[in-house]
Amino acid sequence: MLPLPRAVILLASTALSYAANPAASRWDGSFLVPGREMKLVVDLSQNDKGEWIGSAIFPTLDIAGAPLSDIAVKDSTLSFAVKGVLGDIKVRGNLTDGGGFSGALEQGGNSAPLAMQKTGPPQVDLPRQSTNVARELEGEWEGDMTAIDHNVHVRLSLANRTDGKATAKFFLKGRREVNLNVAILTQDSDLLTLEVPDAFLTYEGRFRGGEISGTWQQGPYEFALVLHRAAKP
Amino acid sequence: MRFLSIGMILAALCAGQAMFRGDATHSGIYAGSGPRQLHGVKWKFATGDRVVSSPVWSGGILYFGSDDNNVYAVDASSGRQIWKFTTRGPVPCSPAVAAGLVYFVSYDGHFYAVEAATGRLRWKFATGGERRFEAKGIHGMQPKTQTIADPYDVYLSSPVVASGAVYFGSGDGNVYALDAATGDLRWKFTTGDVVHASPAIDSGTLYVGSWDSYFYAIDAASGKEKWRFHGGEDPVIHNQVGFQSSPTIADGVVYTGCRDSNLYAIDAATGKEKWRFYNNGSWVIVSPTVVNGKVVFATSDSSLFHIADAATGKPVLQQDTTAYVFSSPAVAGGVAYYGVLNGTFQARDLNDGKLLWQYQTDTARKNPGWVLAADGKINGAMLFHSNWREAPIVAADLEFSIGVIFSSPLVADGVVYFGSTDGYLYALD
Repeated sequence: MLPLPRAVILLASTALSYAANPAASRWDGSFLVPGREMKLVVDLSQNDKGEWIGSAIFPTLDIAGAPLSDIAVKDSTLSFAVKGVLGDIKVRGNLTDGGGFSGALEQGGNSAPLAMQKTGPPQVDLPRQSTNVARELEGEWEGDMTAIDHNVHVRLSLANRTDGKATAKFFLKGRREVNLNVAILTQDSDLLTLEVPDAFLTYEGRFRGGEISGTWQQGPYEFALVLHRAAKP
Repeated sequence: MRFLSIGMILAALCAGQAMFRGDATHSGIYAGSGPRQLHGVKWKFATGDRVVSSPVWSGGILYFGSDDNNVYAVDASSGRQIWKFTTRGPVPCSPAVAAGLVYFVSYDGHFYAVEAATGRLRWKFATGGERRFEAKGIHGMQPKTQTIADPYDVYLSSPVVASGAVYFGSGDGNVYALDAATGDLRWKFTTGDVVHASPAIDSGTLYVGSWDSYFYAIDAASGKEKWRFHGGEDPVIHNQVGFQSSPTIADGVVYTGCRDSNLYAIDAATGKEKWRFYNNGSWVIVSPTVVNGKVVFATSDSSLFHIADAATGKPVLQQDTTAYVFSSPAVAGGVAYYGVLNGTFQARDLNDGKLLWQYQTDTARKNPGWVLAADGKINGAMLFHSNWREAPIVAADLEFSIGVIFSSPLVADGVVYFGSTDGYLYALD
């Protein structure tokens, strides 16, 4: 038998997976809130461990790649949540015989009928993951930034973990004291990026000459911030 | 205009002064009582666009503007139209009525005086033109280098009449004094930005705030500045800046809200701050009402109804209004009445702040676009999902489309009147 081209093998593999799990698919549908139709695209799949993963796109609401959580597929019922997007969204319903989904979408205590159809294999947009950081970046850092008209002292704690995803926390002391847990932390060469989406915050800094020199970006604000090794508390 | 009864004409001619919040000090206190219990909608009057304007009552006739470019005169007892006067722009201000004339500003950049009895134009005056407060990256909108008009600058300045002059602010940054009979310019006072608050006048001094973050006391006769008071600044997103609130004067003290989250009490003679009530980032757009030694006001984002001690500013009580309040509380018979941006109209007992009743507009009940969460709060997550392009402005327009109540109510003969963005003027009893 002639060897099949690699692309054909991959396509066949995807198609088999698609066929094996009725819920695993790209779903395209809409829900009708009073006076307005909202589009929704959902990608559902299973990872190597058999766990359900998924993501959602709301084309009319400027949202793409929102991760699904609490995914449950049992017999013909399907439910999942989209947390931190449009408040928290919950979807519950049933897979129908014609390759569709019929259920309800809840947001803000409101509920609307939701209908979706399969439109192809899933294209799950996996959320970005934190990475570990270089050993010399671990530990405590501090610096000061001028936020419009007042000084804010910033303290940063960085720690690697055995699962390869470092953790970080900001402690801010300005007019108020604020603790912020960093949601996504990545190091790419000398570029360190820390993100706190709930606070619309990104800090990007370059690690050079023993300091991290970068920009604190929060909404429309941008402030220069250089972090140095913290003095022992 | 249809046929007018002699009675209506006489009523209009004999009526006294009427203006935003009842009088030239914007007291917001009305004689008699309004409904302590809601019986229902006595009538509602349809216009062609949102009614942001607060109605005024003179001789049994209600006068108010609509964003459909018209000013209406409506019989208060029947809700029947007496006349309408068409301008070339929206009229989101309260008219003032004095000496048989009705005065108002239109977004067309003109100030009008029309006859109260007939709606016929007596004179009009061209300002430098209307515009909304605007700034780069306002409220965090993106791109931050783009100048964007503020969708929450919803009012125009409501005129006041005193000593034969009519006074009002303008989007051209000026406060104007015109001869009330002829429209001739007496003086104009230039501020640094848009003036959409309504001036209050007491003892020959005019008090008004500007979006330049200053609050001014101006000699009403000469137009000369007596003092100015500096509110907060917000040079980056311009969210916590500017006097949108119209002041109230009581017992030698000027009370005004500010977008810098404070309610200020300022000595009317000196301009010195007596106290401030800080609201944690929440605008104070309403005009406060001072009654029995207490200040009654409400806030936007924190959505609270407050009563504070007028002498000290110390809080007396607060109650949750569910959503933002721009509508200034009217007080009558121990009850405070005001509208809410979730399309409800609320009545609260002044003694304990308890909600006596609330009414929700039909459009708000239908909740188009899920503007409201199921608990009646503004569904911010659904509305404000993007800061880019015109998304926040479109969201604000959608929010306002559900029959929200910017209009400040008036109480007369046991009935409370207010406008809504659903295009109706409501009479509840």
